[in-house]
Amino acid sequence: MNDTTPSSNGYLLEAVDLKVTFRAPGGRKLHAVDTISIGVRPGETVGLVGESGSGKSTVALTLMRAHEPEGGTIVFDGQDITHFNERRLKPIRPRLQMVFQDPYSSLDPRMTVRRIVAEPLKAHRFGTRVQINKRVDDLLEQVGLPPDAAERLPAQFSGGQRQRIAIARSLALEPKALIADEPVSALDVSIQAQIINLLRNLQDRLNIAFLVIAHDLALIHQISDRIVVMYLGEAVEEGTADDVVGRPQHPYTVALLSATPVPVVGGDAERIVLTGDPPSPINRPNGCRFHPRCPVARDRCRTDKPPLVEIEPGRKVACFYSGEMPPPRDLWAHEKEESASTGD
Amino acid sequence: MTDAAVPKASAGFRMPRIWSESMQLNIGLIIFSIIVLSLLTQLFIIPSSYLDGELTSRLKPPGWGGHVFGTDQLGRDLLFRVMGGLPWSLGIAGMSTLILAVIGTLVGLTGAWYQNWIRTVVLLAISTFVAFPFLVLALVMVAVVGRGYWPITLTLGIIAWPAVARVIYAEGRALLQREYVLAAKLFGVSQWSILFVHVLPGIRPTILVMAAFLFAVMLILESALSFLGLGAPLNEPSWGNMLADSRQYLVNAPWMMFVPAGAIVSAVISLNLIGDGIAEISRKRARAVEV
Amino acid sequence: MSMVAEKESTASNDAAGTPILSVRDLVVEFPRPNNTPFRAVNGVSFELRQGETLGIVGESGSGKTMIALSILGIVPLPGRIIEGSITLLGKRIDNLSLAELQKVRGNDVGIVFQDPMTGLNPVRNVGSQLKESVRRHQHVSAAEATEIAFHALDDVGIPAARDRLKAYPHELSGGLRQRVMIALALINHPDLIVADEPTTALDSTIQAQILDLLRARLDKSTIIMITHDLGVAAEICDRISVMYAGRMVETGSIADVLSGPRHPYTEGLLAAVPKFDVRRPTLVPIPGQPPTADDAITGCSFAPRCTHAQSKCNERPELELIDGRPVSCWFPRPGAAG
Repeated sequence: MNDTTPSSNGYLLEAVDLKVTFRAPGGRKLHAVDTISIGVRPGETVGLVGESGSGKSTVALTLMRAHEPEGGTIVFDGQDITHFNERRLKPIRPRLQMVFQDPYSSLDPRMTVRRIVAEPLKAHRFGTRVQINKRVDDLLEQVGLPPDAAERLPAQFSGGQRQRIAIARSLALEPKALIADEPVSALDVSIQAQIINLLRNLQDRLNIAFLVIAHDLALIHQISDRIVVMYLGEAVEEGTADDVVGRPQHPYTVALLSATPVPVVGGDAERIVLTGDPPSPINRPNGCRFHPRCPVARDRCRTDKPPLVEIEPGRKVACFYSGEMPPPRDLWAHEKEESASTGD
Repeated sequence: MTDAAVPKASAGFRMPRIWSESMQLNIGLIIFSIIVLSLLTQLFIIPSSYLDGELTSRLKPPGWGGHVFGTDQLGRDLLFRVMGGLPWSLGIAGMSTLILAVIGTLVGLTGAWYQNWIRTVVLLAISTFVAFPFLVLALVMVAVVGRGYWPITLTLGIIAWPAVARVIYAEGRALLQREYVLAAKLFGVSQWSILFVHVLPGIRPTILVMAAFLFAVMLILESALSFLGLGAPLNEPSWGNMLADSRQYLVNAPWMMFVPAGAIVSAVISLNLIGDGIAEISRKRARAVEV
Repeated sequence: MSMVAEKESTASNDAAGTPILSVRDLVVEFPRPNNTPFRAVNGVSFELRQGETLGIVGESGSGKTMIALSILGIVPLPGRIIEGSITLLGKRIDNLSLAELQKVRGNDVGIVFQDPMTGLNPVRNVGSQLKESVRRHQHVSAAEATEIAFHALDDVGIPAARDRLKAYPHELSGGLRQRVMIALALINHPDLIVADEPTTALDSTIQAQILDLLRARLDKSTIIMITHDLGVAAEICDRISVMYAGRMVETGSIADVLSGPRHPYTEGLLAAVPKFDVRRPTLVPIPGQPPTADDAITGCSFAPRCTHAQSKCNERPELELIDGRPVSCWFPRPGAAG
């Protein structure tokens, strides 16, 4: 299993200063992703969180080389794949796979589950028909589907089961890195936990480098080792999951945390309601991209753009006044309660 | 430790071979098979007299002297003549439909597949051909090649493919934007494979439906061209020629018009029923498949 | 504890008044060719008092949206209300004609949909839609209607409301559109507001804005809030009813249900949601899949997925009061006490 060559900082999949722009109607530039650096180590889960328009899905598709980056480099397994063409990407593909958000549109409705899961196997000449069939049966069992599922069509499955099929397909070639774009947001709550647990178990077993993209900070916190928070195509905060959620430094992270509803009595976070809508990536504000909505913005934020600086090892924030806003939730409240009760 | 329950398979997914769930398709197929059967019949049992008429029995009404549909101005039996017209009318319409379906699908898919200048060229070509004057082309063909099977078939095929190309282009683009196509691409599936596994099966129902409708249109156009003297050779029993012949005898021998007209109408109706039926079935299937 | 007691006492005080809305034994059926009809809503009863916000929480296919559509009289064909009654302000509204319903909607009932684009006419500007609604239900001049429309937009926190009257729905962001939808729902001061997933399509920071608006602006209103998100329900509802497979399995004050769920399904839902816990306990999923229309269920519809099910669960449990809360389960969970 140790045939990978991680880079010096241990990343298996890494993007450095990634920049992606699209052409918007009217010839203007849409800055979908603006100089983001992100890396995932084997066995690690990195959560990329942001709202719609933050560019998080574009990061995923660019890492998968479905979009052409305008700047920056993508390194996978020690190889610079930034400008690989489809022919050179082909041997990379089996090791770098993706799970899509919507299991209703990511599976061809006319194909049986067996053909769907076998598709990547056939594309990479996995083996004989018998070997492929055996592998498909194994995979379906791994993701918790009954053996007779193979001969049916996707329409005969519920959303959660379809996502299992999609995961089985992504795992077919034993990838070393897996990117999941909102893997559970199309699913019912009672099913989400099944898929989250399935992904976690598979990752533990297969030692995958796992990049999860979602809008739900609670979900991202649940499964990630590290979290990167994106706003308008840029990373505004990065750190370990507990740090980002428990000791948020950037005002946007604080606002996002307070805006995430959690069904706990008395667990309602102190609410910071941001005014206005996220600006358009076509027409971005000057200075700090967040300043028009920021509760602590000052004059400087309107003109100067705060760089993403490392405040502690592995902990980065892009804000001149980082840490000014208190965390909306005390993540360690239960420890204090426990120590208080033992003290009595 | 995960779940196992899968909803029961909904039964009856495969369509029976002959008798389908669409009544329209069934009726259309019955009428069309009768027409094709009579075509085959006349190929094997050719009465020697069906082309050279008996001048003594000119313009006789249906039923006269064993002529079920009557006779024409040269005393030729109209039943045999309308059957003899099948290779002309149906043959030309069928072959030109095949040509236009193949060209239209290829061009439409090419336009959908490429996102560069090739797409621009394809769209330009479609617009140009739509604007091309159909009768002028037919005239040129007849002038250069003369009246016959291939000039008219090619004319019709070349004229009508943009209709198919445009629909296939739109549908192909929509299909190529589906997430499962992107997924296949990111799994390293080859382009040909994506085309044959995901795209062609997706547009197959559309091609079939359009082919059935355009078959009917071609049938009418063939008759129109023959009627104008730009189609089948003069004495050949194409339905358009028969209609042209009947013009002068509308009052005295109206059956001369009714017989070929009835043949055209019933063929066109059956083809439209078939097209509607296929469309209905593919809609039902799409619903069952894409819930 | 004291807070909960306080909530209960206010609830019982209100209970003296007549309910704004009363739904009794509602059954909505969808006939299926060659099959037994599918019961999207299967015997649901609840009441709503003045100023109360009731959350109806359930997953897709639980029938929660069908309840909202029944109240609005727009159950999609071939679905039909085949049993039960819906009484609004003492008047049956489940058997009204289309014209009578038109009057009820907008006048007595305001609607907020998940997707404002379905509730707003895309080819007319916001102002004309607001004004039309005002003038259909109130006798005012065109100029007065414009003023009412302006204030309606201003009240829901739309900046530059005067200019926005001329805006078309597609020119507004998702958050602003939802505000317009809320303004439209409120403009005739309805007695009841039906909100079907009003924040589901929005980003979380925008969702927070809308929830804040709903809380501030609708504090006095009587609201039915349909949602799949227990967290959202926790933010603005006084009471919630949890739906599963067309039935209400548990109803209670939000604090009671969240801190001490009595139905195993509610308990399971709460255990399955990530909750910002640094210990990050493994989420406990509810096993299995929600029932489909084809699953014939005779007993408790949750039994096939319930870890506490016993043979008794092959019989259908009725709603019974447990600690003053209706719960339909043969073996209710201990709740907060346990």
